[in-house]
Amino acid sequence: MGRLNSVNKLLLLMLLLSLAAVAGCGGDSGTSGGEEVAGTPIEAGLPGITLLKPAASGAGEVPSFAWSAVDGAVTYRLVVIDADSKPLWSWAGKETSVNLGGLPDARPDDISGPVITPNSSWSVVAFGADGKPVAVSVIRPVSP
Amino acid sequence: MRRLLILLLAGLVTSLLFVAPANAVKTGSEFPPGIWRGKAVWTGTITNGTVTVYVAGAGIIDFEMTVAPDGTVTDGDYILHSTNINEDIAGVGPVTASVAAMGNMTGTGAMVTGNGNFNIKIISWPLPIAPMEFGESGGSLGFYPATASCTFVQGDMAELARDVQQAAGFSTSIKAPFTATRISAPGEKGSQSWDDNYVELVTAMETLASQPKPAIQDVKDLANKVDLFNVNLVKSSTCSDTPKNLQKGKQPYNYFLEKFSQLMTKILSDPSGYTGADISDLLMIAVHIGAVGSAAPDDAAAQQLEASFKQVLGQKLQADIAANDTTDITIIYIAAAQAGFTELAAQAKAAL
Repeated sequence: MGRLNSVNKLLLLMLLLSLAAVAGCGGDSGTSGGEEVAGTPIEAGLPGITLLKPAASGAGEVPSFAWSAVDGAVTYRLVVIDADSKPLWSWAGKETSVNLGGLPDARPDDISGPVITPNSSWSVVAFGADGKPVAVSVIRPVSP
Repeated sequence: MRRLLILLLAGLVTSLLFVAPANAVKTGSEFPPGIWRGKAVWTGTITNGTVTVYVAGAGIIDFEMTVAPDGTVTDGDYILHSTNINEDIAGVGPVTASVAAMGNMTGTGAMVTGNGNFNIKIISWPLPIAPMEFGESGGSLGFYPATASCTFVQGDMAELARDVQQAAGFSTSIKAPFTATRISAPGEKGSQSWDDNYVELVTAMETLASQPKPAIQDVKDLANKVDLFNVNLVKSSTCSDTPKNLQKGKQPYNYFLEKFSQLMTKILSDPSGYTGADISDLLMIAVHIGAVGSAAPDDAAAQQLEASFKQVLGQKLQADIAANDTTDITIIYIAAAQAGFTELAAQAKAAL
């Protein structure tokens, strides 16, 4: 019995280690308010980027996106795609957060702009000063 | 001959450039009630093989009008200044002219109309007599915004005039992109820097579009400036009378989107000299502004442009594979994966 427990502990440890390894290679599942969210990795052999918000569901139609800063990154590029894998919106800049559509504050009702539809996804890539990618996140689901 | 020249000048400059067809069909938005102050930049070319009229980006139209609660335009007037109009009349020679015009604006917020008195000053012409100056009245104006919020509108003042030009047998690229803001009282200056910024952006856009091989960084820089301009417009927008015809979930269709789309189509039709990274950057600008993707206001055009991007990125990928350029392959892979171009992403990934 004690031996079985040790095997289980070993398996659990291996599982945790493999998850940590995936996180370090662009396979970070990320968290959102404590919620573990799976994502599809972009397997470019680069370090990962931790996606902070929004939540995978209940994000609202015009969510705010945020991610952790990456050492050596001078710009970030965020891309949102819809459920049909069509690009919905992209953004590039130095900040580590942006509202969908790019307005600094809440979007007024009378202003056009992209909105999140169910089963959309988003991802972030970080670029160094030479314009080459230095880190990349998973492609993570988001729904309004 | 002199009479012919005058006829051509009067006909083209005062009529063809401005006249809206009497049975014009409105397809855009409308000015909400209020006092509006705006500016248009007039540019482009009209040609039919015999006569070519080129308007350098120096034609400026200032206007102010009141839209009453019932939608009627009252107290509207406009002033046009243009100092660089060139006409090349085949068999006769080049003519350079300046045009000044002013007139009243009437109609409704959904279709602003008006008449004007034009003063045309011939600066040079191929006749053995001194250039002359003459006036012309008439030439009705007809325009409406493509998009409108309660405090600002955007559109193309020459949209309907192009129909007239084409119906007359001319090929035309005449544009008069305009923006207007709602002001609190007649005569209020509004934002001068805003007006200047708009003219500067339109002029920069025309210059960039005229280059055979624009640098991607220049495209990015201009896109960022247009972005900032639009953000500043929106930041000033807080009011209760929301317009009715905004397309939910879509980017606004305006002059800049149209010009950027044309520019990207040109680059993609001859992508030599651009890297996969360049084209990837261009794709992301296209998605950002709504030239490609599900937020694009013109879905058919967006799909066509998207197909071109996939094709060119595929070509760049094959060239990178042949050259063993793993950096560019990686950049194409990441861009394709982010943009949802799954087939291209799989091809690039397999090459890494």
